[in-house]
Amino acid sequence: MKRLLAALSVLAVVAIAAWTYDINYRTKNALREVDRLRAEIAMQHETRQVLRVEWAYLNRPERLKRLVQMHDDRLHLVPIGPDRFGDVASVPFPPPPEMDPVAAALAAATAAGAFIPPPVTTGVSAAAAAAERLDGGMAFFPVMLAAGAAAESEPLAAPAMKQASMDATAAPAERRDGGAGARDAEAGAPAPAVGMAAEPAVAALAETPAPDGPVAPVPPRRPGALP
Amino acid sequence: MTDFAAPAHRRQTGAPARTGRATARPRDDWRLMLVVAVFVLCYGAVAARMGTMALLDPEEPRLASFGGAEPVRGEIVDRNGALIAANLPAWSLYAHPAELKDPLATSQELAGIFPDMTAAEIARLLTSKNDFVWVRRPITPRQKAEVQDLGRPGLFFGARDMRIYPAGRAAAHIVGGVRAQSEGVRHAELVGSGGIERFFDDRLRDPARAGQPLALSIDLGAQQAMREVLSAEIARLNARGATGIVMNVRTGELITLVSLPDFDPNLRPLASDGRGAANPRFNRAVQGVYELGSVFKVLTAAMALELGIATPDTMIETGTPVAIGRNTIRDMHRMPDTLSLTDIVVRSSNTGTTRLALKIGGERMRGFLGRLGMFDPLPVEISEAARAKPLRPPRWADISTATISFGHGLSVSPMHFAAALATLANGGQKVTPTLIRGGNAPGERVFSERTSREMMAILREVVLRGTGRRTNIEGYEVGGKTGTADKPRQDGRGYEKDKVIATFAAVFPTSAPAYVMVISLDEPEDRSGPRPIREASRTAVPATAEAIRRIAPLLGLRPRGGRVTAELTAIPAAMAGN
Repeated sequence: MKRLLAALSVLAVVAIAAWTYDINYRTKNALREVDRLRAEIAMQHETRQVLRVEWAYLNRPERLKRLVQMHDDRLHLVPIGPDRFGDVASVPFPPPPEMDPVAAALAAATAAGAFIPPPVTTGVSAAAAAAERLDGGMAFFPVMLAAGAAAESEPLAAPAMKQASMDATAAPAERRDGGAGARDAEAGAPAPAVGMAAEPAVAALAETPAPDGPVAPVPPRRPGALP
Repeated sequence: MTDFAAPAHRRQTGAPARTGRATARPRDDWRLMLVVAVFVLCYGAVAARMGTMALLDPEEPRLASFGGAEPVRGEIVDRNGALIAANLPAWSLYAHPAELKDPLATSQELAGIFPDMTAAEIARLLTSKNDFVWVRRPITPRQKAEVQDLGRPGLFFGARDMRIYPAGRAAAHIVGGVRAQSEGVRHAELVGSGGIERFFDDRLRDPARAGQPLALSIDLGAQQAMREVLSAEIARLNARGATGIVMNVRTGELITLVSLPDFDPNLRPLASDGRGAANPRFNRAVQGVYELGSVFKVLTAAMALELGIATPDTMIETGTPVAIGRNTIRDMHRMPDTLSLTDIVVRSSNTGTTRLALKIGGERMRGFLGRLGMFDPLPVEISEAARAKPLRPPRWADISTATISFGHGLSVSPMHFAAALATLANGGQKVTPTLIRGGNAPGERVFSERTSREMMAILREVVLRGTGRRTNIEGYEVGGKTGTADKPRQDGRGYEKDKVIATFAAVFPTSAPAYVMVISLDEPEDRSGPRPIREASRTAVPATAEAIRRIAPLLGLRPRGGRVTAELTAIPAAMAGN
């Protein structure tokens, strides 16, 4: 009886030790996972912040006005006035774009599990896409910002240090709009027909002069700066 | 198990029997049991804790914190929540020159990445004797990746937050700017250096409140509309600058605060870019103190009504000049022999106003103007406002009373006047201008409700048949008063002949005042006709008319009885066609 008790106790100790060992490692793993998730959350927060600011920047009244003027032939928008009265909030969002039947069929097939290789002609070279990815696919706002500034102001004759530094971001910025186009085109790539999603990109392309084409993976270099 | 009996046993045997075996054994047992009990307790506690941890819901052992540890400066939004100032994560590039293997090649490569810096410039930095040099700040993620791809040793990145103004020029003078203080490798502290950024610096830097944005009373849409209108007027009239203020009559909330020329707050001009009004940073609405001219007649008339000196229909002599000491006050144009108080404001008679002012007297006039806040810096939440003190005569003589009654001799900012007019329109209760959403509660009573009502009717008359006719926009019952003031000469001797400040101060709708709008143009000149026209009625008034047409509907004011030809209710045709 005593021996049985002793044996059972030893077994219990072994079982509990194993259980503790297991829990210990699971806890450590869980903590590591929590750290990873927390870092990811921080990064997502950062991304969200950048996108929020970019959204606000792209929706600044100045730019919307310019876009309205640019597309006046299609939109025919006039400012609200005493004789043209309305509440802006009552304007509904445009209906979702109608899907191309081919694209719809493709999407349905993909959903059903069929593998459909992406079309070859995406309009974006692989190199350009890779260049876009350099910043983790994160659209960076100051670049856009400087683009607007550069497009509006003449070249600075004797730039002060501060202005010069901001201006520098302007050069890649002019590609940035093109970059946005590339991303949008990419998003629309699986479907051969580019739908509504690509339209803002077209606007963005037209908005700032892109000296080296819509998508340029190579950063503009100062002539003579490098052999 | 005899230990429980031990104490009784000891009591029976008495104290001395310590050495005997019979007494020693129970004592040892007792000790043993104590040790066992302690161990059982300890393990029991551990087991109990483990048991509760295993059974209870799991919870995170560490405090959650998002978005990095550095405190982030609070955001600024407009009254509808649109971002005006925000932060962005960015990087700065720095170098430890001692660790660089090949500074010259590195600088060549960096120059390729930063097109605005020459290789020689960077080489000078990288070959310096310092342990540490900033190469470039701030840099974009793409540039950061490019620098990383170089794989050069000795180059490092410091994370920092960048202050960004997504609204751009629209809110330039309001937000002001920030500068980096105590810049370190890990982070830089941003400190407000102007505008609301400086006024609310402590609030914006407070980490506990970094999550709540500071909501301004400004409406970005209206602000932009005002900017557009004023820019167009500046171009048309070749003016040096302009300011446009829209203020809520009840709360003192500033809906627009525009000062032109303006600047991009993301590229804020330096203090050295010009002195005074020549610097784009100069905020004309708040910092610019001007003699605003005839708009002051509104206040003089209101004082006369309030004191019972006159009613709107009281006839006052206007046919002859008024002599005060060595000075004589005349009217610009020929006036009838007598005019009613209403007509004095409508036709803007200097002599009539002077006669009213002399009846009011300097003492009482000072009292009114003081209560309207005309002698103190504005309490508005822009750091520059506290330094802009109105200019009043050093010695208040009768001639001061006379000239101030029609707006000369006392220099105030357009915002001062807007606040005074709002007070008059708000049933006479003092309105304090503010840039914070929610506004201020009305203050002390300066004028009676009756005076307020009568003055609104008089201002309406100015627009119906006086100098403000062009702002008579159907449905908005605009009332207002023009002011064309000669600018004082720079050398302080008298006034310029052909440079004016043209102002129009409007209230709408006059039957139930909701907003006050003050538009002031600096040196406007309409050269489209045979002779240049500078009068406010042809410069500031059309500007105000256009501004009201654009802004009033944005603020949700429905034109009363006006003809609405197009109503925005459903999907616009252009959109539906898509």
